[in-house]
Order: sequence, then C-alpha cells, then structure tokens
Amino acid sequence: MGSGLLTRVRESYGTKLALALVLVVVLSVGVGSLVYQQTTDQLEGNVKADLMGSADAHANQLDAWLSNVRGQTQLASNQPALASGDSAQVQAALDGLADSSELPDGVVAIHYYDAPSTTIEASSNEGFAGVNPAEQGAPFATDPPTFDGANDVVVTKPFTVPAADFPVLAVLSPVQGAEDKQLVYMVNVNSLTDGFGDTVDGSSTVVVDQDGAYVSHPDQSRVLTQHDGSEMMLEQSLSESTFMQEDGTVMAASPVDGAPWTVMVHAPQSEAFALGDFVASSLMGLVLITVVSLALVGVTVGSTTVTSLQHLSRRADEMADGNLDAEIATGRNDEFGTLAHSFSEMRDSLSTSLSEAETAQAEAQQAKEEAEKQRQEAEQARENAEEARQEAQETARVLEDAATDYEDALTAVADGDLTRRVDADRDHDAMARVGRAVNQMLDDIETSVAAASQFADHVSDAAVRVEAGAGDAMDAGSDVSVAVDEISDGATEQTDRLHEVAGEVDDLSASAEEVAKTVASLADTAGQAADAVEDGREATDEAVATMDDVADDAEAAADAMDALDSEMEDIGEIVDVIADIAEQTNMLALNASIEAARTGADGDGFAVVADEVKGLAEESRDAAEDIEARLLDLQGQVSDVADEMRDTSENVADGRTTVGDAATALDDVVEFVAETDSAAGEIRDATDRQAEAASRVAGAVDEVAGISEETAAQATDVAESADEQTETLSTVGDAAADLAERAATLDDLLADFDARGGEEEVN
Amino acid sequence: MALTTWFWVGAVGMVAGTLLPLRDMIRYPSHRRYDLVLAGITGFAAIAYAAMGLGFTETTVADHTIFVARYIDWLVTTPLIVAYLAMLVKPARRTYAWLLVADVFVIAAGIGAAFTDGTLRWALFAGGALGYVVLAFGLLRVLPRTLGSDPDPRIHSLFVTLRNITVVLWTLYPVVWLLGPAGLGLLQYEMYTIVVVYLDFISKVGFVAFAALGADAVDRLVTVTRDAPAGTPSPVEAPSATDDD
Repeated sequence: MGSGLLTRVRESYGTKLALALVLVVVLSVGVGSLVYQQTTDQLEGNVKADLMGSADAHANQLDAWLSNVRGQTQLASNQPALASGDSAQVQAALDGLADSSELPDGVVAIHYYDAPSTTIEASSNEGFAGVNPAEQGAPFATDPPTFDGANDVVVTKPFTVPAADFPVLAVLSPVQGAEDKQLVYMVNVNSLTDGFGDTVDGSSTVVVDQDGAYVSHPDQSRVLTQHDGSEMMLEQSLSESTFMQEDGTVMAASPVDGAPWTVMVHAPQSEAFALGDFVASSLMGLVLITVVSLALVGVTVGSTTVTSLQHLSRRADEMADGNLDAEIATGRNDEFGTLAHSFSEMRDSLSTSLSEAETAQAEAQQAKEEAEKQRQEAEQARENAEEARQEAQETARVLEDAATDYEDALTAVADGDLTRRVDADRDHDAMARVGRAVNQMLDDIETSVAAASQFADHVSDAAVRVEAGAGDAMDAGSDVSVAVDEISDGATEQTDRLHEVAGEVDDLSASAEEVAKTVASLADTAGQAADAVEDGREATDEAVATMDDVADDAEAAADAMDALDSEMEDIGEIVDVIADIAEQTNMLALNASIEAARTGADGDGFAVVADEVKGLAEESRDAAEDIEARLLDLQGQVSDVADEMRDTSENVADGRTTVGDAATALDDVVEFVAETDSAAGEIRDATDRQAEAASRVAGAVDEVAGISEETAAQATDVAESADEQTETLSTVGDAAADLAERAATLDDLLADFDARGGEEEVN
Repeated sequence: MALTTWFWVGAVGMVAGTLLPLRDMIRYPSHRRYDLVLAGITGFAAIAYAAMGLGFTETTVADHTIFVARYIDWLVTTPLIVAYLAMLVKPARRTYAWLLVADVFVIAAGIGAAFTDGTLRWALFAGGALGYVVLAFGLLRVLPRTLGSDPDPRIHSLFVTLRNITVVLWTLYPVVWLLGPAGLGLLQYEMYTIVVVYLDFISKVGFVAFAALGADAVDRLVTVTRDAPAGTPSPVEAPSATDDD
C-alpha cells in the first residue's frame, strides 16, 4: 500500500504539487497552532498575572486601608478628648475625626461606644447617637471582642444592621483612659471595593472572609452571603496568592494581611481570554485565507501545468506511434507555449525527416530490390556464364576445329593453292561468316589472280605481239628506212644522174637514148621508188596497222592494266576484308580470351583456342598482308606497266603519227615518183622535144634535181623519221620486251598461285 | 470593522469579476451563452453581497446570525458554476440534470443544517456531504469521460483547471463552516465572514477570471458545435482574449 502510494506520488506532478501545498498548509497550520499556543499561553499568563496582580493590588490596598484604619482608630482612640468623658469634647473630637482629611475611605461614621451598655454615646453621624448596636444585632455589641490593651484594634467581620442599608464593619479600639469606651469606626464595606478598578475586562473583585462570607461584593445583596466558590481555593487563598481556573471562570485570590480575608478577582474565561480567542480566530482566518489562496494558485498552476504536460506527452506518444498529424497547440505564451511550439517544430521536422527517411527507405528498398534483382541477374549471369563457359568451351573447340581448318586452308592458299576453299558450313556463326568471307575472298582472289594471270598472259602476248609488231614495224621501218635510203640513194642517184643528165643534157642531143635510158632507168628507178615507196607504204601501213594494233593492244593492255589495277584494288579490298576478318578473328580471339579470363582456370583451353584463333587470325592477317604486299607490288608493277603501256601507247601514237607522216611522205614520194615518172614521161616526150626543151629539160632537170634534193631531203627526213620511228619502235620493242618481261614476271608470280581459269587462252 | 464593510468589499469584488464576462459578451458574441453564465455567477453574488452589505436578510438562528441572502446566492450560483463546467464538455442532457440536482441538494442540505440545530443539523450536514461526494464524482469522473480520450487540449486544460478550482475550493467551504461560529467556533464571526467572503471571491471571481482567460478554448468549442458535431476542431480566427497566464 505504501509503495503503491509512493509510486502514485512519484508518477504524478499534480499529486506532488498537491502534497507540497498540503505540506505548506500543514506547516502553516502547525506554525499557526504554535503561535496560537504560545500566544494563548502568553495571554493566559498575562491574564493570570493581571488577575493576580489585581488581586494582590487589591489585597494590598485593603491591607493598607486596614492598617490605616487600625492606626487611625488606635490613634484616634488615644485622643485624650475621648477619654475626657465630656460629651461635647467627645463629639467635637468625633466630628474632627470625621472631617479630617485623613479619615480612611469608607468610614461612614465614627462612634463613641460604651461597651458595657452597648450604646453609642456619640457619633460623627448624629443618626447613630444613642443607638444600641446590640439591639441592631451588631456583633461587636452582641459578641464583644476582647482587646489586648488599649492600643489593640479589632476589625470585625462585616455585618448588616437595620440602621444601615449597606453592610458595614466596625473597627474598634478602646479609648485610652476610658476603659469601657471604645472608638468605633463604621466602614461601609462596599466602599472598600468600590475603588477596585476592573483591571481585566469583565472581571469582578470580591473580598471573602475566612468563613467564606463575602466581605465585599459588587452586588451588595450578596455581601455576607456565602461565597460560592471553591472551599479549597478559599482555604489556600487565605494564606497565599492563588490562581485557579475552573467552570469557565478564572480566579486570582490574594490574602489580606490585616484581616482574615482574601481578595478574589474572577473573570469569565471567555472574557479573560478573549484576546487569545481573537488571535486564534485571526490566525485561523489567516491560515484559511492562505490555504484558499494556495489552493487557487496550486490548482491553477498545477492543473494548467499537468494538462499541458499531459497534452504534450500524449502528442509525443502519438508522434512515437507514427501519427505526426495531430495538432500541438496551447493557448499559452509562456514556457509551455514555447514547449508546445518547439514540439510542433520538432514534429514538423520529424515529419519531414520521416518522410525523407521513408523516401530514403523506399529508395533503399528499391535499391535493395534492384540489388536483389541484380544479384539474381548476376546469379543468372553466373549460370549463364557457366553455360556460356561450357558453350564457350564447346565453341572454343568448334572454333579451334574451324580455325584449324581455316589455318590449313589459308596455309595452302598462302602456299599458292587458290583453289582451296574452307568449309564454311559451321555452327559457329562467326566462323561460318569468316569461312564464307574467306571463301569469298579466295574466290575473289582466285578470280582476280586468274584474271591477273589471264591478263598477264594477255599482256605477255600483247607485249610479244607488240614486240613482234614493233619488230615488224621496226623491220618495216627499217625497210622503210632502207627504202627511204634507197629512195635517198635513188634520189641522190637521181640527183647525180640528173646532174649527169644535166651534164648530159648538154649532151642531150648526144644521148637521147641515154636520156631515154636514163629516163627509162629513171622510170624504173621511179618505178622502183614507187615500188619501194609502195613497199614503204605497205610497210608503213603495216607499221601503222601494227601500230594501231600496238596502240590497241597497248590500249587494251592499258585497259587491262586498269582492270588489273581495279582488280588489284578489289584484291586490295579483299585483302582489307581479310585483314578485317583477321581483325575480327582477333577480336573474337580477344573476346574468347576475355571470356576465358572470366571463366577462370576453366577457360585455359578456351584461352588456348582463343590464342590459336588469335594466332590464326594473325597468320591470316600476315598472309593477307603478304598478299597485300605482293598485290601492292604487283599493283606497282602493273602500274608501271600501265604507265609504260601508256608511254608505249603514246609512243605508238607518235610512231603512228610518224608512220603516218612516213606514209604521207611516202605518198608524197609516190606522188613525186609519179611526178617523176610523168616527168620522165614528159622527159621522154620531151626528149622528142629535146632539142627545144633541153633548156627546159635542164631547167626541168634542175627542177627535178631540186625536187630530187627535196626528195632526198625529205627522204632524209623520212629516213630520220623512219629512224626515229625505228628508234621509237625499238623503244616500243624494248618496252614491249620489258613488258613481256614483266608480264613474264607477273606470270611467274601468278604461276605461284594455282587458280582455275588461268590457263585460258588469251584472245 | 463592521461586517457590512466586508460584504461591500465582497460586492465590489464580485462586480469587478462580472466585468470580464460582460466585456467578452460584447466583444465576442460567438460564445455569448458562456459569458452569460459567467456573468450570472458573479453578478448574482454581487447582488447578494450588496444585499448583505445593506443588512438585508439578516436572521438569527439559535445563537448566531446568518444571512439568508448568502444561501440564496449559493443556491443560484453553484448550479451556474456546475452548468458552465458541463457546458465545456457538453454531456448528455441527463448528466446535466443529475449534476445540477446534486448541487442543489448539497446547498439545500447546507441551508437546512444552518437553520436547524442539534442532531438534525449534523445529519443534514452529513447528507450534504454525501451529495457533495456525488457531485464531485460527476465532476471528477463523468464529465472528463465525456471529453473523450483525446480532447482538444485547450478545452481540456480550461475544463480541468476550472473543475479543480471548483472542487478544491468548494471542499474548503465545509471546513471553514466547521471552524466557524456555527461549528466548532474556533473562528470568530468577523474572521469567519472575512474568510467566507474571500473564499467566495476566489471561487467565483477566480473561476470567472480563468474562464474568461480561457475564452479561446470556448471559441473552439463553439466552432466545433457550430460546424459539425463530431468534426475536428478548427482554430477560429477570433482574436483570443487571453492575457499571459
């Protein structure tokens, strides 16, 4: 139970606050009680002191009075006047005493009393003169006290007499010198206590004698009645100051020394302790007001604090649960408002962070899924790779086979057997493609080589023909030359003869026959010349024809060269293809290597294969390069040949032109010969007219001579031309020979290759 | 000082307390009903105190004086306080009814105890205490339950504060009464009057002041009821009359 309560307290701020306030209240009440207690004690003490003081004071007062009265009485009783027996003196004395300013308070009358007769012989108060106290019932008369000498004073108890309407007591003292006479001071008892002030509110002071009768009482009617108080207290108070509190009354009593009396001051408790009650009430009121105020403050502060905290904690719980949408608000602007605001901000930033985190989480999830996917893919890839590896191994083996085949084939090809083809029917697409490409390449090469070979043959033949033609042309040319020489000679001869003729013209008459012979020989000569020219023309024509042939051949050769060139280019392209294929094969090999590397140690075989493929590819590439080089070489040579062919062509053209010129010249010759012939005829005719025309003949002979010179010159030109032509033709011949040589070389080169169609006849 | 002085002090205090809801009633008519109730609490108390200040309804029963006006005041204003608390949470009509009945019963028992003597007096006092227990139960358990598990924080805070003020302070009344002249008599009459006036002032004007300070919560309450019975509370644009707590 205790621990449960303790837990409850610990867990609740409100309870703690309430407990704290309760503690404060308890403390206040406690302190208040303490104050109250102390105040009450103080007050009671004060009251007691006051009362007792009052009692004492009154007692002292009475004491003093009693002493005074005694003394006065005694003194007065010793007045000689009183002992004189003279009533007038006595009266005067009495009056004097009564009028004396020293007369004690309360003395109403002074009597001159005669004890034996119990008569008041004289009194300051005339009403009392002659009164017999004994008849009045005054105790001092009925029961006279005994005196110890004349100076003794006796104070009687209070008594009532009819003569007085208030209780009185008597103070007696025997008169000095008059034994039976007594001086009696009659005292109004009430007056004794009239002077008693109320020291304490509501208090009353009484004087009680030893018998418990009231000597003095504020209520006169109660005098001489029995005191209704504690006997015990009375007893005690007769001897000492006492204080008592009972029945709602507080009493202080003090004994009077001069008489067996006690002065009692009593006051109702409620009145005596009124201040204390007031203080208590005020304190209580104060405590209550404090409690109320504390209650208000505590409740409001506690409630607002606790509810704010509860609200915030509830919101915090909600936020912890993930609900970040609840409203966090208070109407307060103090620290709780700040806290709520901070909470709100924290919630907002949490919300942001949360959504960011959620986004990040989603992304992470996604990434994780992707990673998983990738892992699976990688797994799959690994399996695929495994399969691929196996496939690759398989493929490698296949490739190896294919490569080996290709290697063999290409080696054979490299060795020159262009008829070899590779088996392109492979499962492996690349190898098949390679194979097909290789085959294609080989076909092309073969074709090209065949064509080249053909061409080479063609060229060779053409060259031979050219050579032959050139030779023929040269022969023709030399024939021409010869002819021309002959012509020249003839011409020279002619000239000579003409000169002779000319010389002989003068002797014309002499030798008409000679002239005729000369003319005839001239005609023969001319005829010869013409024949020769004809031959020459023929030869020229032949030469021209041959030249045309040569030109055509050269052209054809050039075309073929060009074709060869383009073929070379094709071959070059093919070689490029081979190179590409080789490159591809290399790449393939590289990929295979990579694959091999990927698959690790298992790929060694594959790597080997790849290496082999790579080697093969390299060899292919080398072979291709070789081919390329050779082809380039060939191309170069062919190009040279083409150039030379072109030169030949040009030369042939030149030759042709030259021959044309020669032909033209020959034609001219023929014309001249004809002219000569005709001239000779004319001469012949003219011989008949020789005489007349000898000068003309001479002139004509000169003309002829001139013409012959011209002819000779022209023949020389022709000869030169023919020489040139011959030279050219020899050059042609050389070129053709060269060409033939080169063609032969080409042929040789091509002969290295076995190609189908290379043996075809060249047309 | 004469008792009447204190009554006048109380009257002035109550009038001052009435000014707050009156001002709110004028400024923010949206929750006029609430302010009317608050004004009624302190207004009626002001009237009663003025009457007592003027010496009306002073009667003597047995050996002590009592002012009937005070009891009539309590008979009217305590139900208003209970009603206001209930209006903050809006319970069922039945709940309103028995809360008010319990409160009236307590006051009536108190009046009976004041006017009687002896055993009957103490019996009535005990009966009143019992009724107060019922009322306290209603305020402490039933009304919060009506608010629900996730009440609007400001309404909840206002209700809890006002309810706690009421319950705690009202519990002090019998204590003061017991200590006063009608009971053990430890409190003298003037002091008792002062304490009671103060208690009245705090429990009424304090209540009204805090209610007025929490007027923004009442705004939300009014908006909620106006817009939708079960809708989410939306903050109202009406400027809050709250000063710093």
